[in-house]
This record gives sequence, structure tokens and C-alpha cells, in this order.
Amino acid sequence: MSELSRRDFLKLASAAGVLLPLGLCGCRRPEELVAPFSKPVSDAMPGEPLYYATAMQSRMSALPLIVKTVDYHPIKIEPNPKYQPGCGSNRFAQAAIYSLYDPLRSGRFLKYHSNTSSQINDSDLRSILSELLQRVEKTRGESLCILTDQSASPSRERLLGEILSKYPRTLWFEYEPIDLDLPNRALSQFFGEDVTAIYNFKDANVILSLDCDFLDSEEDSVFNARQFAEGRTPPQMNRLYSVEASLSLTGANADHRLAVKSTSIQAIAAAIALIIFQSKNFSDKILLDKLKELSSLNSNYIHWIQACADDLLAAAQNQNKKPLVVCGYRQPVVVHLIALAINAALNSIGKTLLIKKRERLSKPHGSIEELAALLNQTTVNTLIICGCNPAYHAPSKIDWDNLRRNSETIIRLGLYEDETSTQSNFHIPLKHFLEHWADARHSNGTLFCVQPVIQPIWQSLSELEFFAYLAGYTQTSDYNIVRQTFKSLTGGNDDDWQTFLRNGFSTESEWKDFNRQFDFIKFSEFIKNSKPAEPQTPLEINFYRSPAIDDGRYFTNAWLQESPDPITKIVWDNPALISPQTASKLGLTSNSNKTFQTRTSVNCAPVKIKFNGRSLEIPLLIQPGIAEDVIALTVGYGRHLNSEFGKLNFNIGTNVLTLKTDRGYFAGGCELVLTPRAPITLARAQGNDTNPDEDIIIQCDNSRLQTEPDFVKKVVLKGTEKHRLQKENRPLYKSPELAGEHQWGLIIDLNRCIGCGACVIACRSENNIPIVGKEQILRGREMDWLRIDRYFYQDANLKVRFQPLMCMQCETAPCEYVCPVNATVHNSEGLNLMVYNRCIGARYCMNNCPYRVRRFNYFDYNRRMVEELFTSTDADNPVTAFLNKFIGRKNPTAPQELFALARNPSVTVRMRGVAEKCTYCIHRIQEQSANKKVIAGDSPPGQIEDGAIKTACQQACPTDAIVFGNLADPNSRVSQLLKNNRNYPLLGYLNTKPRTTYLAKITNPNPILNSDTNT
Amino acid sequence: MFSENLNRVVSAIAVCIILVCGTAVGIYFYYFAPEYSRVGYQPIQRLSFSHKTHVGELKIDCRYCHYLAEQSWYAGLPEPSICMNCHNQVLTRDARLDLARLSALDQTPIFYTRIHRLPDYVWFSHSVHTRRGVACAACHGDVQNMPATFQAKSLSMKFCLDCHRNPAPYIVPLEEVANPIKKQNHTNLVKQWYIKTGDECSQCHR
Repeated sequence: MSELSRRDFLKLASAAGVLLPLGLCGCRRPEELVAPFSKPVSDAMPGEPLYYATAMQSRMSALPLIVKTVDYHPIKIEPNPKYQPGCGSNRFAQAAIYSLYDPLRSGRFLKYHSNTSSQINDSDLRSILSELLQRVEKTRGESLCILTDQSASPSRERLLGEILSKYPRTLWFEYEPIDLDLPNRALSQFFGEDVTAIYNFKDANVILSLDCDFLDSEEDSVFNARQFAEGRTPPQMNRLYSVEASLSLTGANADHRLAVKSTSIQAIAAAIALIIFQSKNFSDKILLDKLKELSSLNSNYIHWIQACADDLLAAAQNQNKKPLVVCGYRQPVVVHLIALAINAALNSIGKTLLIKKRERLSKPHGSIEELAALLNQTTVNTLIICGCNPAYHAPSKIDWDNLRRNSETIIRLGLYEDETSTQSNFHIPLKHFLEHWADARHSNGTLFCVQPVIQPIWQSLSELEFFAYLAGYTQTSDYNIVRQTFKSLTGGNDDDWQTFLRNGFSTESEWKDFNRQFDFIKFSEFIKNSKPAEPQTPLEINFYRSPAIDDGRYFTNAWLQESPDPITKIVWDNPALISPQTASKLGLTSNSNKTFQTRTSVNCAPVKIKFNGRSLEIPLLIQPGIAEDVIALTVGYGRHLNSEFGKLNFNIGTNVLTLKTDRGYFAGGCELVLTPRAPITLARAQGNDTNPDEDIIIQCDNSRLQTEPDFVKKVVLKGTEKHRLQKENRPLYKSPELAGEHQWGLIIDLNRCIGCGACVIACRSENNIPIVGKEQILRGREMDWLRIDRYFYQDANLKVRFQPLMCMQCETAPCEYVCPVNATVHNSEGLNLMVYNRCIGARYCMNNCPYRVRRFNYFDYNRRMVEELFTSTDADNPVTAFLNKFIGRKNPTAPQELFALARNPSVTVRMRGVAEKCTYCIHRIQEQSANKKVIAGDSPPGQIEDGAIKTACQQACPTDAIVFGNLADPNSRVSQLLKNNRNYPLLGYLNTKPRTTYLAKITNPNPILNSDTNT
Repeated sequence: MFSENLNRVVSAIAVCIILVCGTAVGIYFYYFAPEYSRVGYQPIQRLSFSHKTHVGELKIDCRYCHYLAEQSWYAGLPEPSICMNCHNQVLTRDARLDLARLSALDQTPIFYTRIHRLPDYVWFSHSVHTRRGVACAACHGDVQNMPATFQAKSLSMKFCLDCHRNPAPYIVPLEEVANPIKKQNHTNLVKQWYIKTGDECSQCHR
């Protein structure tokens, strides 16, 4: 063809221009199809939410929950308000919705060959299992081993018990890398019977925590936190002493905190015990001498210890309340026993420390060490690994990689195709707890039901189904098993079963009290052989449970990965933590300060940690609050998982478990070497903000508040005077008309807030807030509507304060006046609305907001593939990244399509280019007022009752720190709190008249320690 | 340097541009407005159902089939079993009902083409409106005279706001909700029932 002349080109172009509108005429509105249900629905109102009671297991305990489902799929986890010991939730429970719809979750039965794996179908699996069953039956369980994780399910205990009695040669082992049951086992060892300790913080007046993070990382932290907060309402306040190595939430909330090495805690416990026993005139000389020997290390802290012990003794004199000493899972048995002895000496047992007799339906034969010893001696025919992931977290002194070869067949049941799966012969996906029937027991023995709220998304089995099959129930369902267990534990009939399902719990099965006197002679015997902690070589290595992803089980959960660590505020990573003093002693500070840092990024020097002949490279974060000569490491990161989408590049964090040789969580003799590599940049939600203005977080001692009730008001006034910009402090903006019947307000009690961050994830889940990923956080583009600011006060002692911050709903909102399109306006009920469909993304509002609570959607985060977040962009080869993303994907369901089920249909899924913020869960307000109107019909609907609307953050809060309600109703809780003398507005001097206000933080320090600056 | 005629050319071009833009804006506001583009939308349905027969002639209440209208945010499409309540006696062999019969038998879904559609950023609840005296016909028009259903009202934001700002002409006593609309003005009902008027964004947008 000849070349097109210029003239012809123009002709064609103009013709195309003329015809273009004709083409548009063919445009039709896209046809949208709708279909009715093909069968009538009996149990639910389509479109309206339906709630089920269920529970989430947490090792040896469980958390009762309510699951909100809409159109047959769960969208939100809420705490169970009927369960009175404590209604609240934690981060892990709130993020369970993500795990359910996690596209990386395993969803196919796999058979592993030498190098490859192939998918097998249901009937293949059935034949494999029946073959296994035949073999087991023939040999009565000879050389069948079962390795499981800990579980609070009595049904599983029952089934395993039946398997063990039916096939007596079967061996069952139980292993958890973070063993939260250790405190109970220590007590059981002492009493010679299986007992469990329940804390009653409500009646505790002085609490001493020995390395026990009972507010966050220990078992039952939700209930503990609630009771602890209840006991801290001025003027009646408990006092918390905390001794720990790293900075935990408990330490951050303590009135007095002593940062020492973990190895020294034994000595401190012994010293306190010694003082208490001496003042109680104990005559057992051997015991006192032994304690003296054990407490030989702590001359530096003698003042603190004396004051603490005196306080405990004084508190024991109280008629109604008693002191309580708690000891964390990281400490060895002897420290637990010393703590128990102190409690006994202070008459706390039975008051604040309740000991209950635990009757498990069956018990394992041992833990992973026993299994390792067995595998060392003989070969095992079949090893069933259920839930547990030894290839990742077995102690490194057990050479698991070689030992597992002594088992001919390994059958793995797991939620993910993880490290252990790839070493197995068969992988069977486990169902998520929202997909199957089960039960769970609280540590006090209360039975919870676990109900399925959705059909299993993937090809999978539940634990109970599998073990029921092994136990010989080839036909029964997990429903029947749970029901049978319920009947045998509570003796309940069919009606009771229905009540059980409706309430979610049954207290019939609570453990009985264990009424044995504490025997000090026996205690003396027990600690006779324990040695004082050896003087340590400088650095001590410490392993902690990750506040974000536990022991690695929530590694693929982006909601949790992006939930900031409560203290360091780091996301998507686990640096080694070290105190500034130790860092300067080792000469490590200079390097990281040179390079540029932003609000959300921190440069960490990469270091090599050498321990026990092994070494590990990890970024080092300098963090105030860590004890001197201590390195704190968080487990759970640096995992390698497979998924249906092929191998993903998981460059998230570092696997520190390679350094963990045995069950211990700390040890001395570790070395730290600076590597010459460039600093590593980590993302964090907030910097180490120190010493804010005194009117940001108003705080004072309890005694001062009692003598000076208007203290808070004075501080606010002082701030106003300091910041007053003009003579008359007139509001800059006109107040809107607030004629509505309801005037919504929210009050946050800083004295109750422990900074755990459950509210942040609850807000994410409720309001469809997208996850942005590490790279975007580094650019300061986090999306959370609710954040928890953490401040350090660097005076004599390190003080930590938390402040949850969301949109304040200012009555004279600065954002509203700068919006060019009226996309943010006020309504008559005092809410600062955000109309997403109007917003053009000018971002003036964000700049004019003094609280920095508005967020901007820079990309279509909500449309992003979830697994993209798990591949880091900087280090990856782009070709493999592409291949990973698009090749080898066998399932037609795109991940974001599956994840769409997790979205709350009552809230807009915001697109790119829109500013967004908290509006007090306006959809909940609207739904409640709509309900009122529907019920009212042709009569006035009336006011919404106080407490009928709870915001998502309020609902999730374990300590009830957030109260939402109608300020126009003088009897509502929020109006009552508004009159509290601790109430103050944040940045009140700006005259923004915020609807969210705070109650000041009150501490209760010991006057003796408080006057002294040396502690 | 330039000839004087050029001034005229420039002004002519300016006028043309204004005219063209004005026309484009005019076209957009007329033809792209829901009043033009949405009203009268009448797709051919796979299962041809006549509201005229069922509502107009047989006088079946709207809420017999759309039974969720007073309970849920969406009115609901009738399940085939509801059709079969009558049609297992009436027109049992009629070919027009094949789809419904099949669906009732083996749960094959019946797909209808959606006619009334609100944008995703609007939250509308049927239950609140029907329970507070907004007649079905106020938004869905004279359905009883439609052999094949079509969109009668624009359902634009202006349409919603007209009623939200001044609900009196549209509110009827609760027992008349499913009836055709008569011309009346129930100012007293608005007062008695405490019906909230106004145009707050949060009522529909969250």
C-alpha cells in the first residue's frame, strides 16, 4: 500500500470525527441481572445482618465472640456481651475475618513427590485415610505418632483420648513455640495435680508483674485487661509494679517499672519474697537462706524492691482487696513458684489468685523433645502433624530436618502450605474456625461453642472431622461430636443445647476450686536445688511473642502485619530492639543518625547477632525502655510459604527462631557485631515522639487529683493562655446549627486505654479501610482512620502514654471551610460528614485538620491484589515477581474478588483520589435510627436509647475505654462522663469544639518511690 | 501587522467555541440526566411478568410477592415458590411460566434484568420508606398499568430531595402504602409521625 498522503489522512480523521458520535449512539446502559432466591429463606432476613455466637481458641483458652453475617457470609467479629467476666476482643480476634478470606490460605489436598506436588481429590484422600486407618487398626497404633498444637477444645481432647484408648500404642505429642500454659504447668508440678491459675485483678490493690504481660501477650489478656481497668477508676486505684526486660504493654501501663535483664528477675522475685517472709516472721531458716542466695544479684534495685515489698505487705492488710503477684510464661518454673509463695504469704490465694482443678479429657504423652528422642531411636511409620509447624519453629537443638526423615509417612494438617507441609507426604488443609463446628474451653473451664458461619470456602477438613475419622467415627459429623461433648460435660438436654448455641457459652462446666493449702515446707524442698542466675556475659538475648502475628501463625494476615506494634509502632517487620544506652556503649548509634528519616520511616543499622555458634543478620532498632544489655527479638517473621499462586516472595522480617536453641526464652552470652552494609529502612506508623505539650495528654497522680479536683481544668486553661493567638478567643468559624434530637459525642478514657490496638483493626474491618503495604507506609500514606499515638516521657523514669485519635467531629470544623466542593459538611446531629461521591481529592481538608486524622486514597488500594503486599518491591527480580503474580494461578477466583466478601456492605468502598475519615460509624447510627422508624411506623420514633449504638472501636475495646452516645440526653453515659472532672478537649484552645473528648490519665505511684529519682 | 478582519475572525471563533461548549453542556444536562436516560427503561425480561394482570386486575398486594419491602432494605424478588402458590392451580401448563416452574423444581435461578438501580454510594432502605408512609407508587410509578415493567421515575438525587425536603405530598396513611397515589397533602401526618425533613447528606451517603 502506498503511503497515506497528508490530505487523505485529514479526510479520514475528519470522517472518523463525524462518525464518532454515531458510534456512541450504540452505547446502552449495561444490563444488570438480578435473581431471586430459588428457595425461600427461613432463618434469616436477606439483606439484614444475622449474628452467631462463637469463640476463638487461643492455645489453652478461648475468647467468646459474636460473628456478624450478612447474606450468609461473616463480615465482622464482635465480642460476646453476654459473657460477663469480660466483654472485649483483641487484635487477633478482630483480624480473623481476614484470615478467613485470605487468598493465600491453603485450599487443596496435596501429595508431595520428591520434588513436586500434585493435587489429589476427595476420593483419593478417602482411600489414603482408610488405608491409614486399616494399618492403625491392625497394629493397634504401633508406630503412629500424632503431633499437635495446644488446643482448648474438649472435643478434640475427647477424640484423641478415644484414639489413645482404642490404639494404645499411639503416641500423642503437643508443642507450642510460645508456651502460654507454662504458668499452669509450673503450679501443677508443685501441687502434683493438674491445676490452673485464674487471676482476679478486680480485687487486687497492688499488683506485681514479674515479666508478665498480662494485658497483652499472656493468655486471657482480654479478661485481665478489663478487670485491671475496672480497678483503676479514681479515687479507688490499684497500683502496678512491673519488672521486665523489654517494654511490654503491661510495663507501659505500670505505675513503677523496673527494666532489668530477664535472668535477674529470679533474683528480684527472691528478694521480694525474702523481705515478705521475714516480715511475716517465717522461721524456716533453710528457706530464708536459699532465698538470700537466690537474691544475691540485685544490689542496684534494693530500694525499689524494698518499696515494692512494703507496699505488697501493706496492701495485704486491706480487708476487701488483696495484692497479687503474677509471673509470665517466659520465666522458669522456680520464679513461678516464688511468685506463688509470695501470694500465699500475702493471703492472696483464693482472693486475687484463684486456683482451679483442671480436668482435661486426655493428656499428651509429651512434647516435641520426647518426639525427637523417639525419632532418634526408631523409625516411625506414620506421623500426623496437626496445626503444629515444627519445620519452622522446633527448637534448633532438635535437628528436625533430619529427624523427620525417620518417619516413613508424614500427614500434615494445616491452614497454610507452609514449611512443614513441603516436608510432608500429604497436606490436608484445615478449615478456618468460622467454617466448622467445634468447642473451646476458657481457662476457668467455661465451655464455648464454635459455630460455622459460612460454607467452607476451600477443599478442607476440620481437626475434629479428621480425628473423629481416626477414632473410628467414619460417618459422624463434627456437629454430633461437639453436641455429644456438650452433653457429657454439662449434662444438658436439647433445650440447653439451643441456649448454649444462642448464648455461646455454658458455665456448667467450670472447673472446681482447688482447695489445698500452700505448703511452705514443700516449697522449700522445691527450690532447694535451684541455683542463682549466673553472672552473665554482657548481652542477653530475649525472644518475645509478636504482638502482630503471634508465633508466625498470622504471617499472611495483612491486617495484623499492618497493625503497628503497640510500643515500637513498626509494621511489616521485626527488628532487634536495644536500649539507647546499650547502643551507645556498643558504639552503634552513629551510623543510623546520619541518614534521612521521615515520620514513618526509620533507618536501622544491620547487625549480626551471634549466639550459641549461630549467627543472624537483622536490623537493629534503638528503642527507649529496653533494659540495659538486652536484645529483644520477636518471633514469627521470615517465613516461607507456598500457595496456589506459586511461591511468593516473603521478604518480611527475619526468622529469629534459628537462634532459639531450646524452650527457654532468654539466655546470656550473645554477641552483637555491626555489619558494614547500608542501613535498612523500616516502616513505622509513628516516630519516637517524646515529651509532648502537657495539654496533649493531661495526667496527674491520683493523690493530686483528690486534693486538687480542678487540676485538669487548670492545665487546659494554662494551655489556652499559652497558645492564645488573638485577644478575644473567638471561634474562627461560625458554629453550624445543631438542631438534631441526638447530639453525638464520644469520650475516651485515657486511664482505661492500655494501647493494645484492637480498636484499630476493628475500625479497619468495619469501615473497609484498605491495607497499603510497607512501601506506602514509608511514604506516610497510612489509611487507618483510628490511630493510637504513643508518647514517651523521658524524665527520670521512662513513661509511656497512649492516646487513641480519630476524627474529633469538631463543631466548628476547620476542614469544612476549605473544601471547594462541599464534600465535607456538618449535619444537625453534630457529625462532620464526609460525602465520598462529592470529593474531588483537593486535600485542603487534610492540610487544615489540626489533628491529622484525614486520610487520602492515593491508589486504588481496595482493588489491589492481596498477595502483592507480601512481595517486597525493592529487592525482587521483576521477572519472577511477574511470574509469581500471573503464572501458576490455578484458581479462577481472583483474590480481591474473594476478599470482597469481607467488606462491610453498609460502608462505601472508597476509590482512589478521595479523602476519607471517621464519622463515628455513621452507618450504625443510620441503621439504628432506621430500625427505630420501622418499628415506630405511624407514630413518633422517639430517641435512640443510650447504648443501643456502639461504634466499632468501642465494641472491640477490651477495657471499655471508649464511650459513645447522645450528648443531648443528660442521663446518657457520655453526658455523665462529660461532667467528670477529668474531661478535657484535645487542642481545645483552637476553638474547634471537638465532640470527641478525653478523660485525663491518672497514675497511682508509690509516694516513697515517686520522690526518689534514682529508680 | 494583522489585518482588521482578523478581529472579527477571532471573535467569531470565540463565539463558536462558546456555542459549541454551550450546546455540549446543554446536551449533557438534557440527554445524560436520569430524567431522559433512565425514565422509560423497559428491558425485555426472560420471564415476562405482567404487573398489570397481577396488580391492576387481580388486585394482589405489592407486599405479597415483594414481602421484604417492610422488613429489609431491599424489597426482594419473589421466590418461584411464591409464584407456585397460585400457579400450581392456575395456568399449570402455560409455557410462559416454564422458567418459574423449573426453578421451583430444581432451583435453577431465574434472572431478571434490573430496572431500578441506585448508584453504589447511595443507601436506600425500602423498610423505612414503606413503614413511614411513602407509597410504592411514589418511586415505582403506576405499576398496576404496566404490562411490562419500566422505570417511571428518574430516581435522580433531585427526585429524592424533592420528597425529603417536603414529604407532605408523598406521605400516605400506612394502610394505603401499596395503593395507587391520590392527589393529597398530608401535612398533618408529617407532624404527627415526627417525619424528619431536610437534605442532610448522611441520610443517604455514608
